[in-house]
Amino acid sequence: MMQHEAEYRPEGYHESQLIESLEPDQLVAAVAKPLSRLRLSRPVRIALWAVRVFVLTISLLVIYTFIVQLTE
Amino acid sequence: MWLLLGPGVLAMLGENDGPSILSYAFSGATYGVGFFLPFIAVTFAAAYIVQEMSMRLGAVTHRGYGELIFQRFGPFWGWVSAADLFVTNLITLITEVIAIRIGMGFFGISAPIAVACAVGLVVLSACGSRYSRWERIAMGLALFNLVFVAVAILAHPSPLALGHALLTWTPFPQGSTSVFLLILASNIGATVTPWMLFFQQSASADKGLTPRDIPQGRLDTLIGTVLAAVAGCATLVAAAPLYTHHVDMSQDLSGSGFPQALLPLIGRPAAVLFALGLIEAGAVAMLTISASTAYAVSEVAGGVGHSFNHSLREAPLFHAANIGVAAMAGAIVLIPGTPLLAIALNANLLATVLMPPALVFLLILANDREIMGSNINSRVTNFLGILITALVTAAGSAYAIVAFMETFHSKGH
Repeated sequence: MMQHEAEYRPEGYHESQLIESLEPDQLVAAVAKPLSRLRLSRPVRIALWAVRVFVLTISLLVIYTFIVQLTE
Repeated sequence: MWLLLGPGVLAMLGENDGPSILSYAFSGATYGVGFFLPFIAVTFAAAYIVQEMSMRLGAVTHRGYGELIFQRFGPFWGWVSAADLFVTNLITLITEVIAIRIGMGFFGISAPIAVACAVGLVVLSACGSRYSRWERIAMGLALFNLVFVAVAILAHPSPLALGHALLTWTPFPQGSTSVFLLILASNIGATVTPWMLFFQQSASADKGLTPRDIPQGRLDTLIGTVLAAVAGCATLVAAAPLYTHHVDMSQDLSGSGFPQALLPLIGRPAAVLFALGLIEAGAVAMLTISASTAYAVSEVAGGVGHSFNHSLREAPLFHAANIGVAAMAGAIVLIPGTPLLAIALNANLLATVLMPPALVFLLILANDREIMGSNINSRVTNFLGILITALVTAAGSAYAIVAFMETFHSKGH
């Protein structure tokens, strides 16, 4: 646990102990600062695009079927 | 404990919405008590795995799902995810208004009044600028989802048949492959959907859950899962007499057929409860799905308030999106000639088709040690998460490809 706490944290990250001591309104303000970007590896970027292309293709099939069934 | 109940119960019972209830009822009416009874229970178990990750992310990062995608993956993926959610939510909301309209229609209430009630509920629940107030209204309505258990009991199912179906997953559905795949994909889309991820994570953050609250968050999610699974299975059982009496519901799926068709089979009290259940299912989902749209839009827009704890002045985009998307859905339902039946059928299917990218983002975020620390996914959770992603992808694409091939060939001939 302690080992993880000492690891790199992105900008905008707040430790749990600090968060747990805040009131709801203070919490909203505390997390207003954005976290820094995740460093995505090339395989992960390719996977994200592959899933997106796949979903768009399947969506086109569904939309085509939907429209044809409406007109029948 | 009671104070920590909320997002999990609401996400699960909110997902037993208009199109979901119609999917479960259509499963019962088409195939009776058999394969789909345990299948529905298993889809809820899958929903628990996914929603637990979502709750954990909200409790640890104190940020909404859309906000995290936007910040960790960049604006492009943030907006793409928000666009996916907006499309599915708008279509689903249209179906919720249809459910409310049909349920109220059973009692002789006109369509414009029903639509006004649906949109008015969203406006009223947002007044007061407090998440806790909004949550109490939604929770009160959501518990009424269990009305389908009463309807199932009034349908007098055979305990032996229920036990046999749950243990053996039989009788297995016979007949058209595309109808089977449509019902399969619809039932998955009825329990595992993009809006639930956005909603539970954002609501957990909005409620102020912290890593210390994760065990209670899990219990909240588990209670919601059990309640929603019981209500979902009960809906299938309640509609099963239509299968036994060979009533064909394939031409009347918009919902008006179910309470009306069940009337001579299970009696007026049960049919009235079914109609009330449809209204409730639509009403709770109106609140939760409008909220998830508002969270997503205002989170990815950045720099603006995105909480029920903010007033209209502090979070104008959040409140405008919450009420605006509900009003848009209501307006579409009132347009003469809108294909309501076709929209109702395809709402859950679309949710299934658009779910894989949301699950991939969820799995990456839940394994992001930089923001999750020691609360990252276990190996078992990762295995189950990947398995669920693969099955959801296969179910959605199987129906899409089979239905496309059938439609394409029928057009060709």
